[in-house]
Order: sequence, then C-alpha cells, then structure tokens
Amino acid sequence: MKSLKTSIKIVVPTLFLILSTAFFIVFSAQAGTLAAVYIFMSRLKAGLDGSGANAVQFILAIDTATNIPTAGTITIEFPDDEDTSWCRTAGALTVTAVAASAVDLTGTTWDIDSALPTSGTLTAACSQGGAGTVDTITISSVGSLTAGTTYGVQVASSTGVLGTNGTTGEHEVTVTAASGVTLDSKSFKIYLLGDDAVVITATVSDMPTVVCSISSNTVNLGTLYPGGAYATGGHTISTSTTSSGYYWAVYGTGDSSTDAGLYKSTATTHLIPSGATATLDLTNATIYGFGLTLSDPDSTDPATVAPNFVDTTAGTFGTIDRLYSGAKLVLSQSGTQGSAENSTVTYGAKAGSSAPAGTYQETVYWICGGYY
Amino acid sequence: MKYNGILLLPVIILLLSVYPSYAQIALSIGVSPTSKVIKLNPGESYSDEIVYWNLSQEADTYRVFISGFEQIENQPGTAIILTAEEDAITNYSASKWVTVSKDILELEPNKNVKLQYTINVPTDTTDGEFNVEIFLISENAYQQQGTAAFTNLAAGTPILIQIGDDYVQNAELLRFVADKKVYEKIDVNFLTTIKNLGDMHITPTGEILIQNIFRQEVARIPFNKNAQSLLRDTLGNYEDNWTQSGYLTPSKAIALGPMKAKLMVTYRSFQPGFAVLASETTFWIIPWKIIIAILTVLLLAIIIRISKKKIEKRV
Repeated sequence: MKSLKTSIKIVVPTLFLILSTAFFIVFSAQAGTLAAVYIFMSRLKAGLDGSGANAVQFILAIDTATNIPTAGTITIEFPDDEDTSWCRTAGALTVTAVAASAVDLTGTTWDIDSALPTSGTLTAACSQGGAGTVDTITISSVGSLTAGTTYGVQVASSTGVLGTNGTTGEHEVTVTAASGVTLDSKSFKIYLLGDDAVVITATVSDMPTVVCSISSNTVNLGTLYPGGAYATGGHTISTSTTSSGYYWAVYGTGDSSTDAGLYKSTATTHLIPSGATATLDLTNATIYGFGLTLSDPDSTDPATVAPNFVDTTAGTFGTIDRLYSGAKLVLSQSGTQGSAENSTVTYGAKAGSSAPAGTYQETVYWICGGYY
Repeated sequence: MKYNGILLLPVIILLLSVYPSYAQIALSIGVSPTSKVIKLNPGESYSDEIVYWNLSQEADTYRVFISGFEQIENQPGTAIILTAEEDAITNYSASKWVTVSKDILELEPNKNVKLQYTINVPTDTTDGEFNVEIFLISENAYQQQGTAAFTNLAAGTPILIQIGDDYVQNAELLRFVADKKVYEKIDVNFLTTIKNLGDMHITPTGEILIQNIFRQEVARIPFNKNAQSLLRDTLGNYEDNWTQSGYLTPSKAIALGPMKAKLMVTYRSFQPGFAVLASETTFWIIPWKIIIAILTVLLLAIIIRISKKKIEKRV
C-alpha cells in the first residue's frame, strides 16, 4: 500500500509534467488556418501539358490568420497520386507580385489588398513528387505577411512547366505560408473540366441589307391660320445599304377617299389637300395645301432627290398621293452606302381661307428598300 | 364691324384648338435580304427567313403584310405592295402561297428578329414568274392631338418566284434620249424606257457609247449600273448620267459640238447576244459662256486695233 502511494506520488506529477510540456511544444509552432485563399487559374481544362496553347498560370490570393515573419515561403502542394501532372517539368517559375486580379470579390477577404511583399527577390519553383512526396510549387523570399491583409502573386511557367492533372473533377491542394516555426495553411479543392473553352462561331452574311430610320414619328406643324402663311415642320430620314442602292417612296392618307393631305376628321370635316399638281408654291397667296421636300443627302454622291421634292426653293413643296398605288419615289441612290446618310424632310402646310378651325392631321407612310 | 367678328371667330377657335402634346419616337428598321429570287416547281414547298433589326433607342411594333407588288412610278428595282383589291385580281401575285410565322413583330433596339416564311406552290401553277412581298409597316401609338403629320416606316422583301423552265424573255426599247438637247457643261442624263414583254423579270445591262462629230469615242458609260430589274409585263425608266469636268478626254478627243450616243442593251439570261436592244440619240455640248467671253475679247481686240490705226492715220 505504501509502495502504491509512493508510485502515485511519482507517476502523477510526472504525467502532469509531460502533458504540460507537450502542451507548450504543440503551441509553440503557432500553426493556423489561412483566413482566406484562392487560386485563379488561367485554364481549368484537365490534362493540359503546359506547352504552347496549353500553358497554365495562376494568381494566388492569400490572407493569413497570423502574422508571418519575413523571409518566409508559400507552398502549394498537390495530391500525392497526381505526381508530375501539375509540375510537368521541375524548375524555376516566373513569379510576379500582383495587387489585383479579375476575380477579386470587393468588400471581402477574397479581394487582393496588396502585392505579395518580398524579402529580397521573389522566386518560385516547382518540384515533382515521387515516393512519399508530392508536386509542390514553392514561392521563396516572401516578406512579412500581416494577418487580415490579402496578398496577391502570379505564377507562370518558365524553366519549370505547370500543367493540370488529367482527371476531371475535384483535386485537393494545400497552400501553406510559413516562416520559421510560424505557419498558416489551408486545403481546398480545384475543379478541372473536360473542356474549359467555348468555341463561338459567327458568319457575316453576304446577303444585301438595308437599314432605314426616321428621327421622329410625329411632326408638329404648329398653328395654321385660314388664308395665312404656310407652316413647316420636319424630321430626318437616314439610310445605309450593302447592296446596289436604296430608295425611299412616300404616300399619305388624307381623307381616305379623295387625296392625301392634312385632314380634319371631326365635324365640320375638311381636307387641306396635297393637290394634283407636282409641286405647291405656298408662297403664292392663292395656293394652299400640304406637301414636303427633302434635302440632298450629299452633293457629290449618287443620292438623288426627285425633282419636285428638292428643297432648293423656299416655300415650294412636292405633293403626295394616297395609298400604295399613289406612292411616289422621292429619294434614291445607286451603289453601296456604307454609313447612314441623312436627308432632312420638311413638311409644309397652308390652310385656305375656308378651312374651319380644328385639329388637322396626316399620316405619311415612308417606304424604304434596296433595289432588286 | 359685324363682319370683322365673323372673320376673327374661326381664327380664335383655331388658335384655341391647338394642343401641342406629342409622343415623338424614332423609327428604324434593317432588313436582310432586301430581295430574293427563287426557282420552284408546282407542288413544291420552300421555307426561309427574313431578319429584321431596329437601330433606334425605342422598341417599334411592325405589322406584317403579304401581297403581290408592283414597281413605284415605273422605277425598275423598286417595290410597293398592292392593295387587297388589286392583289385579288392580279395574275402574278403569289401572296396566297405564302405563310409567315408572325403577324406582328416587336423590334427591340439592337436585336435581330427572324420572321420565318413558307411558300407552298399550288400544283396547278403555270410556268412563269410570280411575285410576293413580305412587307412591314410600323404601328405607332402617337397621340391624336394638335395639327401634325405622323410618320410610319415601311420596308419589305420582294420575292420573285420562277416556276418551271418554260418561260419567255422578251423586251422592247421604247425610248432612248438625252434629257436636254443642248448642254453647257458635260452633265448629261440619258433617259431610257424599256418594256418587259416576257413572263420573267429582266435585268437589262449594257453600255452607252458617246462619240463626237469626228466619230471619236469620248466616253463609254455603263447602262443600269445598279442592275435594277424590270418586272414582267411592266415598263421601266432608267436614267444614266455622263459627267466630265473638261471638254477633252484622256485620249485627247474633244467633247464639244454635236454628239452622238449609242445604246446597246442585253437582257436575256440565256444567249443574251441574240436579243440586243439598240438605239441612238444626239445632243449638243456648247460652252456658250466661254464662247461669248472669247468672242468678246476678240471683238475688243479688233476694236482697239482699228481705233489705233485710225488714230495713227490722223497723226
């Protein structure tokens, strides 16, 4: 019984001493989990050999949970059964500290705050795994890392050649930042695809096209005074074509029975007609009606305004007719018109002295096409 | 005084009736293809598509019309649909053969919209060429207030459908003239009218050769360089321009005085050389301002010389 007590007196303090010592040994390594880390790979296709168009590079963003002293390293380790597939050729790699990447998530810890600091010159190399070792990329001469700051570094092939493993799906990698006994690390998975590229094809058609535009669908002609002067309003039309020319034709609606022109559809109905003559000289006191002119889109090009619709004589307007059958060709051009060219359309209207008061309106249809 | 009141009343009412409230939007439409020529047989079916787009900032709504078409004011290569009444009685309309996937198209800005169409040729169709146009007209929600002109935009794709191989291509030259008899500068418009007598459209091509009084060639211009086609059973007016800055050609032929223009046109797709349309016209190029200036200078020189001689004699 005495010997048992003696044994307890020796064993218990000894155990306590051992456990206490072990506790201090474990925590003296100061290992932690990285606060944030991502690898932004240039290619996600499985089985890339790293040559030519199959070259692989990546940006590593890393935020440690603890402060890592200067002169440290960052290592990226790949699965043991994937040796020589990530590090296709062992050797030095090109390494560049970067302060941003395209996949940064602003406002989170996955947002690079600063380029990876150096303690001299940053270097990187990849080594191939074998029995008991794995493919490893090591970045050396890393400066001191402050916890809570996300650092960025870009790694690309050089003498050493980076590739990807040949199996699609998840591949676990471990990133470790260490300096002396201080280290933070984290494992996560990279997903490789059977094909990471989408081939987009398109054909530029050789079929002729024509594009026609009108700047406004409504033209306010203001106030007309019975027997007064003529009023005007306008918009532009523009055209481009890839074929052998374009044309514009126009017809009106009027009173839907006799002629095109401004029509008052409420009682007492009245038509300010476009008229039977080719042109209307609205500066003439005895002439009233509705017509329009177009400006020549160009002075030298083949675009031509029909003679009775040219805008060279102020107050003289070409007249239009009703319905499709009354469509009049007003502007045409031979040959290609690569960029849109404009013509200003001016409507002119004058009310006769017998025109009753009210709202007068006309709907003009502009037809545009390419020659066939 | 009473009459003044009567005259003023409509003016006042007219002024009060104006409500300048307008919703102005731009209209735009792009079309491809701008036309189509198809060869089919009776009983055959054909499907294709027309693509439209809108380059304005607002969406535009277009209603789809299907009808036979005609040329606008005898202008070859142009098309305007027929009214329903005209379409019903025309012999060459294929409008009843065509069905489309939509009656209304909403063209959103900068987006392609496809309209599928199918042509079913009846089995009892005779050989020859038929036509149809798939035609879009904008439908606008403008406010009906105030005195205004409203605009609609329309565009279409004329389709020429050739049925069978038994067809006739025949044409007649009705006119070939210069638009004036005398020109001061070389800016000559040649006006040609051709009537298509066959049962197919034709696309006349050729040259206009211009010679001076010494029968030297001073210019050779293409006829119908746009390749504008002429529908069956219609006539078409063609205009071809000859412009030249000086009166001397690169080959030193002088383009002054009486000139002769010779037109040579072919139109058949098979052995075109066996059916040539030819004609001649004459006109004058007289730079009268230059001539008057030269004559004036010469006259002055003669007067001065005579005056000098008279003075010398007196001395």
